[in-house]
Amino acid sequence: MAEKKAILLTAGALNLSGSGEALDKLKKKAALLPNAQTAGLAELAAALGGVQVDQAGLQAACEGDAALLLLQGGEDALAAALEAADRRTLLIVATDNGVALHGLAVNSKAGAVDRAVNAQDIAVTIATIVDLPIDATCTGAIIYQALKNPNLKLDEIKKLKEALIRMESVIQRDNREPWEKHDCA
Amino acid sequence: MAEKAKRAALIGYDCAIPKRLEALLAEGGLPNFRAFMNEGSFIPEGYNLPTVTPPSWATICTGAYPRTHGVEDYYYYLEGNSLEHKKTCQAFGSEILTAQTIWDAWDKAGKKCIVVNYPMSWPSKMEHGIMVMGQGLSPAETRWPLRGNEHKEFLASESVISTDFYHMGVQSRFDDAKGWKNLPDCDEPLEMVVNMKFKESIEPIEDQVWYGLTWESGDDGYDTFALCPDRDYSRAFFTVRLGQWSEPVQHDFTVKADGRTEKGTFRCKLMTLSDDAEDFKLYVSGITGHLGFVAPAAAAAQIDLSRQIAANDIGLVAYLHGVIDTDTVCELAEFHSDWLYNTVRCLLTANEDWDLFYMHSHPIDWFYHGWLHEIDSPDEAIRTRARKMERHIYEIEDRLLGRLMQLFGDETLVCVCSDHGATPIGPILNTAEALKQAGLCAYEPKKSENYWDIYEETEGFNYVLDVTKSLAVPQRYMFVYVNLEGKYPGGIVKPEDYESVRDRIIDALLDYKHPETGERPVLLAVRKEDAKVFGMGGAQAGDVVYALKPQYMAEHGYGFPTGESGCGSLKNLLMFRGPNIKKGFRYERPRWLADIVPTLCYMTGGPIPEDAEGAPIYQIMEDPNLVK
Repeated sequence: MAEKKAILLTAGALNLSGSGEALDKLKKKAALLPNAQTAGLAELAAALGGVQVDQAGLQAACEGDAALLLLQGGEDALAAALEAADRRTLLIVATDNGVALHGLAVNSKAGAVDRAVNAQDIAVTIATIVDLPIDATCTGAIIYQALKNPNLKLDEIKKLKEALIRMESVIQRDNREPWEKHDCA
Repeated sequence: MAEKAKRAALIGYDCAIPKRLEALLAEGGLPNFRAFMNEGSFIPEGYNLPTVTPPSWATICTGAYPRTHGVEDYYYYLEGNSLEHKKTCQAFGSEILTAQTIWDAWDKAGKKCIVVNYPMSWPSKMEHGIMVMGQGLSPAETRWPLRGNEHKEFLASESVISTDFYHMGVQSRFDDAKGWKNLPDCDEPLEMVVNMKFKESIEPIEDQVWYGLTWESGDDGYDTFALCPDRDYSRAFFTVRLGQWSEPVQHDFTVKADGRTEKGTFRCKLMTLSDDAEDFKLYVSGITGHLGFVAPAAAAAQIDLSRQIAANDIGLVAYLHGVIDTDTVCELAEFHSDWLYNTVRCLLTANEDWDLFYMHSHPIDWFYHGWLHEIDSPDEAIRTRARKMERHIYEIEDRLLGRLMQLFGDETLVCVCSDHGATPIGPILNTAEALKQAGLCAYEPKKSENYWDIYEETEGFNYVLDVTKSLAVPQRYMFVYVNLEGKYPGGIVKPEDYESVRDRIIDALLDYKHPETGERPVLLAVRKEDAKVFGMGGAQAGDVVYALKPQYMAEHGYGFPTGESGCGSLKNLLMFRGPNIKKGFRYERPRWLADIVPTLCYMTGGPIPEDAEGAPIYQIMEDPNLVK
């Protein structure tokens, strides 16, 4: 099972300003991008290794190895995506009137983010959050304003380095010579 | 005729430094140490060699020198093994003693002895007494015959449950809580499945799956955590908030070997919980068992172990590995001391006819290994913090002393001592390098292209000492062996060359100049036979015995007890109080730890152990003429 996942729901007709059970649940903790241009997003997502799934197969796909799942639909599909997502899932809902980001690494209190963003920006943001390789042709800019922590990668690296130091400390302590430090413990 | 004490008690505080105790007393506080000194006799020049835990505690309980009692180092060389230091094992327990202990002598005479957490005591051979396992540094732990730093406990060692990786723990993460019963009233609780593995067990115990639950008590994020044996909050072990300790938890654990159930007690402290629950760390204390470490086994019923945890090593290793902070270490020291006191109180209360009591407490030593180097730090903030922590640890031991003195009463002759002192870590002498420079030892860097085979911080990981190419092999703290052909695996020195190689070893050690200081770090290097003069040179000694100047070692182990460096000193604490002991007396002459047993026996009329070599300390007695 992939550690981190993203679900890109292309829901063109869905109105992010509207209301409904799934929409309300989404918007409660989403960063909204009302000035988002999504032309070409589906192609970019496919280039990132996105796998097409349908609503019926979404739950099973989430338990598989694919890190980026591509879904089309409306509010039913949105409800299914919210149900299938867990704390390690980034949900991107792309509509004709904006994009909503929800879940993993997203600032749930961001509300509406005014910045104008395009498909390249959305794609590189997805790739950064769920650790997908970025193509050299990428010209997008990460949508930091929607993130809980703009330094998420720096912090991940810092944690990994700290874990490495801890491992080395254990190795060091267990391999001392008799004249090196001893701590009676 | 002078009064003889009716009974005797010894409280050992590992690594208590007389100079540091006096400095702390001068600043105030520590009322029980102060009262003890004011009402008894204090000997600031306490000696033993080597300045190391196992040999010193062996001397303190036998009255014999290391060459006699058979323990001359923290580690023990097993005959027939290669001379490499890594093949030695930790020197704890009664099996390796070649001298009679005071409690065995008194037990043979029909006296009742209580021995608690004394490092060289287990297994017990007593018929009339009670012993709580001392085969290591903490109660209910063993280090014999384990190598390196390894130890095992009843029931399992400390752990950590975290979203980050820690070598000693379990890594997991939170997800939406599903399938729970009796959840608290909250929105969006999260659960964590914890596959608990219990490590370093004397008797391995089965893994268990536990469940963490976290929720928001208000609007400011996740702030409350519960650990449960299953997905039912009503059965939670505990519920805590950030920085809080749980109450002691008593739970059942299954022993792998025979499937039986053992009760264990543990406590947890919530170290980290971020408001989004992405960062989480729960320290889990060692699981303290209730059985298996008391002899006779039936005596365990005299001790209520449901509310205490042994807190092995007061969390020093957890601190070194970044799991806990110094405040938590101090809290664990309190728990450790409470376990000891509770155990002692239960046993002494249930056995009021006791004649001899021996115990040891280790927190001061653990503190000095972790923080002695900071006590003289040029950084005021570091220095202040370290000194504050030092006082805290001594205060814990002071409270223990006060509570024990209440239990002992005034008719008991009490000795308070330590096994050695400590000095701040200095430039280390690499003995193998010194011998290599003299052409005596093959000590080379590992040859590897693999990054993971090379580690920057320790020589032990990166260097290989090849005994098959070494005339001399440094081993343990103070020894160098002549690698005799036919005697040791890989030995290459012909018997006729033994003395000349030995002479070369001594010359190499004495001539060596430390690359950092340009000075000679070796204070003394002698033949094994000559070491008998200062109590060493027995079967466990190397062919050459050497000692370092105090500024060239790590805390203790390699130096003379007269060693002084910075705020530290290698002398041990030694003081007495009770019937026939002079009050408020400061005795300045040097005395050896071997003198303790003869003093206790002489002043109580108790039988002297067969191999005791020390002498009663007559000068601290009001009337030393107890034999008329």
